[in-house]
Amino acid sequence: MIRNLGAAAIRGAADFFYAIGFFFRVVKNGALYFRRGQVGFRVLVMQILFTGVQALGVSAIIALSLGAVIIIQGSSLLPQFGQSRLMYTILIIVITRELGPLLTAFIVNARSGTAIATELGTMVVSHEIEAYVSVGLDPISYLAAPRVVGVTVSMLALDIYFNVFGLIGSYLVARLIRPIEFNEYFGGIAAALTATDIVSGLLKCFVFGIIVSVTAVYRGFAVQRASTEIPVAGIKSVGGGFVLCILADAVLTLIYYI
Amino acid sequence: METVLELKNVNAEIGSYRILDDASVGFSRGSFTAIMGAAGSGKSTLLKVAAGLLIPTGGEVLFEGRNLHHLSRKEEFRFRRESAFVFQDAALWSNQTIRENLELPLKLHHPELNAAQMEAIVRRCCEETGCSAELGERPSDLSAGEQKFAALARALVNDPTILFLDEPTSSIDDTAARKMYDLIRSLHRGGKTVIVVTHSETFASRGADHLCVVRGGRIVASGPYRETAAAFAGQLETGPKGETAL
Repeated sequence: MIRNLGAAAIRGAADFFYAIGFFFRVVKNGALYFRRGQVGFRVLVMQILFTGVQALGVSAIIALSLGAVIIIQGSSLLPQFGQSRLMYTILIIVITRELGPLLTAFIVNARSGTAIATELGTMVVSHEIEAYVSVGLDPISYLAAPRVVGVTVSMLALDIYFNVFGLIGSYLVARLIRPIEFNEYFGGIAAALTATDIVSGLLKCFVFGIIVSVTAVYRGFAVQRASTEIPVAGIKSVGGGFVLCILADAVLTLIYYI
Repeated sequence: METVLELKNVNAEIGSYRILDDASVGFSRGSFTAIMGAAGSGKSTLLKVAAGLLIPTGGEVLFEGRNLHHLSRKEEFRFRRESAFVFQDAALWSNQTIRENLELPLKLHHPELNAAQMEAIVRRCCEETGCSAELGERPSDLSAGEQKFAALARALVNDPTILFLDEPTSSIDDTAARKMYDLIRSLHRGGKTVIVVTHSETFASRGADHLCVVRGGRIVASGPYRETAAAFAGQLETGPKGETAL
């Protein structure tokens, strides 16, 4: 039993260090992506199209709804404490700094994380990855790096969309509650918005983008030989992506307030 | 003849299961080696280790006398340009058309070529291999046999000197298999080093000048085809269910 425990611990440690090494290798290749002559440019374009452009609809609906919910809750709660003017600050904190990046990460993780993990897993099973290696293409440079760059860039763009739609949604509902001018409303938002809020939100998106994409790529490449491993890779990618994003969010928020 | 590729005391494992055990074999430049053995004996693993697609857990693979896994990026790139691998299940890139499948290795190793030159090479390789697929088709639109010939065409676009083939005639009909035999033999006659995993003694006996017999992950015999095949007479051909006498 002790031997089994020891073997499991060694295996766990080896897997952990492999994952850390894989993470840094993929991130390094992603960072150097634009410096190399790119055969994989099409992979990048397709990734941005799928992750950034095709997710616009779902992102807009969630953002509009979230903005509406915040304004409804805030309008009923804040006046009771005579703090109606805090509405703008709460909108900024929730949409720009906290839920905007996190929900965008969830959308991207659910759509693109699963897609990347299952696509790469399928390619492993059908020996397409080995075929890339056989012609001299490094799967990390050709398949992983453009996906990481594409997902991260798309995350940043989607977060900006999310902010815009979230604030528009809140404005539309605010107008139903009490007549308010567009300029007055967005003037209040602009006054409450600081550079730190913007940087904090974008930084989170950048980190979440890397987490979601590297987790998906790692899980996809971890498929060995059976097609039954492919959906498992998708599930693990999404689960791991959610957990790691929330942990990273907690750490980044903590750093912000320290 | 000069040894172009050599495996020295190679081990390969998946988990705790050893697939190759202390395998040593050399491949001469311009030779035609058939690797034969029962299903699950480690033939395909041996081929993938020789092609540098699997990293052995022990021993070394030497390309022109140098460890394949210690080559610089540039030298490894040269090895990839000079070698090509045809997979048992073709392994064409499913999200690309046949044209893109054939052009990608060209773009990678010959970025100086323009679109017209690439198109000419792609068409020539399709013609030489008898690949009848439309270049705009996706691999999923092709039959298994057509995929095999497209995979062979893809392998030839960079005019490799070493050709690795894993069961090139599996899952294709007899006519297509004979066409494949003839093609591989003519490629060998053209000077290419051919290393092929096959279950077909008929195919091996007509083309191979060397035979490597694998049993239970160990290379039990390796040498000139006639002598080695004679020593294993009646034991090489695979039966209808994939079993051999080995």
